[in-house]
Amino acid sequence: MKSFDVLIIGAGPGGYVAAEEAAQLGNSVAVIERNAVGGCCLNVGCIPSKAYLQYSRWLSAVQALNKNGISVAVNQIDFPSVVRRKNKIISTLQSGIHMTFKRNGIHYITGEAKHVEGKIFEVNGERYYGKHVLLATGGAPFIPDIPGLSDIDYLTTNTFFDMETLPNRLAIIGGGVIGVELAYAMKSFGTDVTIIEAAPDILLTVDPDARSIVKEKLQSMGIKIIVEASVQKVKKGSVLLSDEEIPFDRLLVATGRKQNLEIPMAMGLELDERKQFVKVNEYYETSMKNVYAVGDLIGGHTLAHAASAEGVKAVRAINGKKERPVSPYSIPRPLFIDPEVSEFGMSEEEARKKGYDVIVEKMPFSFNGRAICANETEGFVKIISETRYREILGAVIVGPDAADLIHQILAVREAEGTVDELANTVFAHPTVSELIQETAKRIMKHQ
Amino acid sequence: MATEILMPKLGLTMTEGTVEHWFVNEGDEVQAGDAVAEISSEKLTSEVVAPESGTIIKIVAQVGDVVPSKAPIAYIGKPGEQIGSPTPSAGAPEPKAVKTAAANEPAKTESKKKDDGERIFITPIARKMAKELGIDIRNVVGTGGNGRITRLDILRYQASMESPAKDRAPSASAVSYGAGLAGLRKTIAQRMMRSVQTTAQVTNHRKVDITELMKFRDEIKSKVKDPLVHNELSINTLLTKAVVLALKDTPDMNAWYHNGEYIRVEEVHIGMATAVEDGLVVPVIQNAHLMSLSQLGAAIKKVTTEARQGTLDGSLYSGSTFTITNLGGYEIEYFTPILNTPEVGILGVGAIQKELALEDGEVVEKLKLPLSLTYDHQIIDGAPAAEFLGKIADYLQDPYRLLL
Repeated sequence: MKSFDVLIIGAGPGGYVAAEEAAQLGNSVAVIERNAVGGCCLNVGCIPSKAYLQYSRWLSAVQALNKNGISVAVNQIDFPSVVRRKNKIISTLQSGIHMTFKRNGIHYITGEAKHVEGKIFEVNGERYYGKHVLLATGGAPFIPDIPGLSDIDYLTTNTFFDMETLPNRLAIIGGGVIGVELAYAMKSFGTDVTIIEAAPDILLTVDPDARSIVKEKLQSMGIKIIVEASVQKVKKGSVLLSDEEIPFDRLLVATGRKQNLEIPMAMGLELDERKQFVKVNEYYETSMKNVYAVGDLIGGHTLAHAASAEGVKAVRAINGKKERPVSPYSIPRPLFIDPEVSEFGMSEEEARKKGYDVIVEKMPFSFNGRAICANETEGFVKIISETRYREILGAVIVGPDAADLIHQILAVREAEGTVDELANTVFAHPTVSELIQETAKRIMKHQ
Repeated sequence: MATEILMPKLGLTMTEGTVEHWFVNEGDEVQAGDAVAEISSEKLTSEVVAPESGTIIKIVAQVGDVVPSKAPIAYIGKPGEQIGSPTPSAGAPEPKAVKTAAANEPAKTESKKKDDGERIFITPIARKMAKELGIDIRNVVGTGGNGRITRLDILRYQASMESPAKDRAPSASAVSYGAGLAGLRKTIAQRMMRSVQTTAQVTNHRKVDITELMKFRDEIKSKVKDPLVHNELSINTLLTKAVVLALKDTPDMNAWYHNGEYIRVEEVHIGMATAVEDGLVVPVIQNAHLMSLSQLGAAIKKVTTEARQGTLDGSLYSGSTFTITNLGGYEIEYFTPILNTPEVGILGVGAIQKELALEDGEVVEKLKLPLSLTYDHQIIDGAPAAEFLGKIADYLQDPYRLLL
C-alpha cells in the first residue's frame, strides 16, 4: 500500500490547485482522477465554452465591420475545425497541469477511487492511504425527470462538446449561466436556438439589471426564450410544452448539477440538512478527522475559482496554517457572453437586510469614450456601498471585458480598500475602466 | 527667477531643523555668503548663508518652525519678483515653488510620526474604523500581510479596550505580560496572566448523567418533521440552556468583579470560548436568557462561525457574564479553565463518557458528561459553587425542564 501525506481525489480546479500547494508545502501528494485531468472546468465546462465563445466575438466583430463601413463576408463555418481548435486548447492546458505535477513531484493516478476503509482507497487493484484526504470529486449534470427524455438521444455538458456537426435547431432546457453561454455561442454559429426555462426568468442568480440587458441581447440575436415553461414531454425531434411544441435537431439539457457524493457516502461523512452537500467546518474538514472536502461537493458558489481557493486553504489547514475560509462575497461570478457580465458580493437588497445604510450608484458605458469608440456601449458599472466607511459591499459590471474589469474593484475590496481609493486612483484616459472611477466618484458625493 | 534658501542637512542623521533666528527681513538685500538665519538641529546650531546675491523676496519659515532638510525657508530674487512668476527660460519655478510649499505640511507630520517609530501599514477600512472609535493606531498590532493593521485587528483591539479586566491590572505588569508575543497571542497572554494574578481560582469537577438527555434528544428529533437546522438539540446548545437557567437561579454567579466592585448582572450573556486560526476568542451570545432552544442554537452557531471567519461584529467580542469552554471534541474529560475576568465563573465541558452502572441489580450503560467549574473564591465559596454545578446537573438530568 502506498502512503501519502495528502491524498486528493479529483483533479479538477479544486484538486489540482490544492495538489500544487500541498507539494510546495513539502507534503508527499497523490491525485486520483477517473476522467481527464482538469475536471469538468477544463474538459467540458469553462474552457471549451470559452473556446467556442471566442468565435462569437470574432463573428460579431465581422458584423460590426459590415455595419461600420467595411464589408467583409463570412464564407464558411468549418465546425469540425472549431472543435479541433477547442480540443487543442484543452490538451495544451492538460499538459500544463501534468507538467506542474511532474515539476512538483505529485503522483498522478488515473482510475476510479473506491473507498476501502478509513482513509484507504483502492484504484485499479492498488491501495493508497492518505494521512490526510482531500475530496474534490465535483459534480455531474443533473438530469430532471422529464417523460420521454430517457428514450431519446440528448446532450448534456458532458457530451455537448463532442458534437462534430452544427445542428440547425438546438433546444436548450435550462436558462442558467451554462445554458445561456452555449445558446449564445451556438446562435453565433448560425444555429436556431430556443431556451426553455421553467422558472419565472432566465439567469435568476444574476443581478436583475444585468439580466434584462442580457435577455434583450439574446432576443435581439433571434434566440427564442420561453420562461415559466411547463415541459410535458420530450420526444424525438421536439419538446412538448403545455401550449407549444419546440422542434429541435439536438437537445441540450442544462438544468444544473448534482454533487458526486458516492465517495463521501461510502465514507459515511456527514452531509448538510438537505443531503445535498458534504458538511465541512471553517477549515474544510469533514465530520471525519483529517478528511477534507472542497469545491462543488460543499456547495456555496460552485465555481472553479471558488474550488481552487478552498483547496488551497484546506491544504494550508492540513499543514497547520489555519486561515479564515473563503468569503462568499469575494467570489466573482462571470457570464461570458457579449456584453460580458460579472459580479461579486452583496446585492443592494442583501446589504439593506444586513443593516447597512446602502448607497448604490450605476453608470452606463454609453458615457464612456473608449466604450463608444469600441462600439460596446451596452451595459453599466454598479457599485454597492454604504455611508459609514464607503465600504465596497458588492459590484456588478455589464460591458466590454466585464469579467476582467471586476477584479479592479474586487482587489481594492480584498485589500480592505474603500470607494475612496477607487475614486482617488488616477485612471488612464480613455479606458473602459474609467467608468469604475466615475461610479466611485458618484458614491463620494453622498454624505 | 527666485532662488531657494534651503534648510541645510548637517550630517547624515539630520532630517529636520528649527529656525532659531532670522538675521534678515523680506525686502532686504543680501550678498552671496551673507548669513541670513540661524537654525538648530538636535545636535548643533548653525548659520544659513545666502546662496547668491539678491533680495529676500519671501520668508516661508518663521522662527520656531521645524522644517525638513533641503526644504526652502526663504527665497532670493529681484525686488518685486513673485516666487510664482513664470519666467520664459524655465517653466519650472512656479510648480516647483508650489510643490515645495505644499510638501512642507505632510513632511512635518511625517517627521512627527518618525519619533514614534516606523511607518504604520494599515488598510483604509481599518484606518477609518480606528478614527471613528478613537483608537490610536500606534497601539494596534497588525496581523495582515507585512504587519498591516486590518479590520479584524481593530475589532479585536476594540474588544480588549472595552474589557473592564484591563483596568484591573496593575499598569506595570501589563507591560511585561505577553512580552515578545504579537497580535492575538499577546492579548491572550495578557488576559490569562491578569486573570490568574487577580483572582482566587478553584475548580470543582463532577460528572453529570445525561442518559435521559440523549433519549430526550432522540425523541424530539423523531417527532419534529422539519429538519432541525439551528443546532437546537446539539449537546452544546442543551448544556448552554441548562447553564443559562442555573445562572438565573444563581445570580451570584452571573456577575462581574473588578476594580473592587462586585456587580450581579441581570441579563445573561454567555461567552463561548472559540478556537480561531491564530488563537482563542470568546464571542458573546447576548441575552441568552431570553432565547428558545432554536434561537440559542442559531445564536451559538452564528457567533462562533463569525468569530472563526473573522466577520463577527466588534461589540460581540466582549461583555459576557459567564463563559463556557468545551474541549469535548478533543477527548478531554476534566481541565481547569481560567476565568474570563471580570467574570466569576467559567464552565469547562469534557467528552461524553460511556459507563456501566447498576440499576435495580441490572448492569446498564450510562452516558456521563464531565464538567469542570472554575470560580473566583473571592466571591463564591466551594459549597455554593457545588450547588450551582448541581443545578446545571439537575436541568440536564431532567431535560424536559429545558423546554419550560
